[in-house]
Amino acid sequence: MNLAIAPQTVDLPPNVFRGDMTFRNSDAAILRFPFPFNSDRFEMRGVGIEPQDRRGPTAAYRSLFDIDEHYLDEVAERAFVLDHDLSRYAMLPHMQQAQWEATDYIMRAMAQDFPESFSYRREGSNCRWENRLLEQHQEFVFGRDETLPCAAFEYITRQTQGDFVLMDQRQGTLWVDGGMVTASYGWSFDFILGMNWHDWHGTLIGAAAESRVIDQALRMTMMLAAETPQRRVTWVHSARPRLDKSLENKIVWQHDIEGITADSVPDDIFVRSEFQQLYRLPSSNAIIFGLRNYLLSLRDVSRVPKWAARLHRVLRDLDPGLARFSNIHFRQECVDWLERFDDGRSLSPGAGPDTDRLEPHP
Amino acid sequence: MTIGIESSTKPAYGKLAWKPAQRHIVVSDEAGLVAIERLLATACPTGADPIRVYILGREHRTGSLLRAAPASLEVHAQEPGFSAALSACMDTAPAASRLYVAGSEPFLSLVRRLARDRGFAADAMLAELAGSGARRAQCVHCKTVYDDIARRAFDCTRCQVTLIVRDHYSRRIGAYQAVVLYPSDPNIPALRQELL
Repeated sequence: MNLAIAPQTVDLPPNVFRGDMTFRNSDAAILRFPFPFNSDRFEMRGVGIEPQDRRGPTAAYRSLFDIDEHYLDEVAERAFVLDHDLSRYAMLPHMQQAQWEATDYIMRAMAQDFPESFSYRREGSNCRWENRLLEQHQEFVFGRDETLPCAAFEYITRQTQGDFVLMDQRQGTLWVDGGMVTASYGWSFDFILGMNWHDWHGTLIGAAAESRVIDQALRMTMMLAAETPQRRVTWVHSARPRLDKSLENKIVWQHDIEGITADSVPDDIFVRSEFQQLYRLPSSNAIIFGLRNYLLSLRDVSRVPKWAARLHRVLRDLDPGLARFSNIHFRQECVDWLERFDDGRSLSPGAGPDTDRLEPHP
Repeated sequence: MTIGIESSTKPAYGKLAWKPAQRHIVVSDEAGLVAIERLLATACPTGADPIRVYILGREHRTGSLLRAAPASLEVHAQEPGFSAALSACMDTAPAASRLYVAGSEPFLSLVRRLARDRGFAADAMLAELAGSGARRAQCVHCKTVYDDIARRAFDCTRCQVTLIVRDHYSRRIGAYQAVVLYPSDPNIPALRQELL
C-alpha cells in the first residue's frame, strides 16, 4: 500500500462514506479496481466462482484481505457504525473456536501480504500483532478473550476493510453464526444471524434463476477445501458512495437517489464491486465469507476506455427478466452518458484494464 | 434497490394431526384451544409416554379440555410460568419427540423460539395458526418488536416512519422483518388496509 496517497486525516464524524460522502479514488485506486465484467453481457449463468489465489487482472486480487488507500476511512466508518448499532457484530456462543481460528487466519494473511503495514508473530499460544497503519500493537494469548480489548474476531475485523460472515457447517447446510457486517447492501445481518443458507437467501427465492444459483452455490461452498480458497466478483449499481446500505440504515440511504440528474449521473452513480471470498478453516471446519466492497464512479470508469465501453454494453443489454435488474436507477441516463465511449470496437476478453495509464477526466 | 415482501422463511402452517413419536407435547393459547381439542379427539397412534398438554390461558376457558382429561394437563395464566414449564418438559424429552402447537402468530413465535433454544429440530414442531393472522414484527431500524400487527403497513412510533411487514421471518428473533417505506410511496394507503 502506498501511504503517500492514503488520507492523512480522518474526519470525525466520518464524512467519506456518509454525510457529505467525500469519497474519491486516486488514479492508482482506479487502476487496481476489480472490475466485475468479464464480457460484454452480464448473465446469471453459473455462479462464477474461481480460486482466490493472489492472482488476477488488477492489484486488488494480489492479496487475500486487500488493504488499499481507503483503509483509514473504512476503519473509521466501521467504528462509527458500531458505536451507533452494536448489532452489526455478533458471534453465537458455539463459534468460539472458529472465531479464534479465523482471527489467526486473517492476521497471518494480512502480515504476509502487507509486511510493511502489519506483522504477526505466534509462538505456541503467545501472539503479537502489530498494525503500523493504526499505530497499534497487541500482545495476547491465543484462545483467551480476556487478553484482547474485545472478542478476537471483532478485534481483527475492526482493523480490516470489508465485511465478514463466519459460517458453521452442520446438518447438510451452512449457518450464519457470526460476523462483522457494517456495509451490507440491502440486508440485515442481525436479522439473519443464526439462519441456514436457504433462509438467509429466503428473500431471493422468488426468482427462479437466482434460486438455482443459490442451490448450486451452497453445494460448491460446502465442498470448499482449506487449501483452495475461492472468490467471486459480483456487483451492484449504486447511487452515491455510501457503504452502509444495510436495511438498518435504509431510513437514511433511501433518499440517496434524490437530486440525481442526467448531468450528475457520472459522479453520483457507482459501480459497487462486491469481491466475495470463501476460506475454509481446517480445525473448526467453519468458513470465513468475506465481502469486500469497491466503489468506482461512472466518471472514473470512463478513464479506462475498455471498461467504459464494456459498462455501456452491459447496462444497455441487461436482461430485464432478472428481478435484481428490473429497477436500476437512472439506467437510461447512464447508458446515454457512456455511449460516447463506445465506438462498437471489439473488446479483449477478461476484466483487466488493458492499460496502466488513465485517460484525462472527461 | 427495491425491498420485496416475499421470503421463503415465512413459516408454513397446516392442520394439526398426529405423527409417529415417542413423546407428544401439545401446546396452545386460548385461540388455539379448538385446534388442539380437535387433535386430542382423534386417536394418537404411537408414543410410550403420556401426552403432555400445556396451555397458556385462563382456567375457565379450558373447561372442555379438562373434561376430555388427557393424561397430563397444565394451564398457566402467565407467560413466564408457561415458558418455564414447557422448557422443563422439553429438557427431559426424548429425541423422538414432537411438539404440536396451535395459536396466534405471536404465540407460535414464542413456542418456536423456546423449542429452538432447547435444541428441538425445526421439523419436530407442527404448527396450526388460529385466530387472526396478526404477526409479531420487528422494526429493522430500531429493533423494537411490535405484537399484533394485523396489516401489511404500520407506523414505528420510535423511528416515526411507516414500515412494511415482509414475509421474512427470523426464528432467533421470533418476529417478521419490518422495513421503512419510501415516504411518498403511492402504495402506502392500500398497504395500511391489507390484512396479513
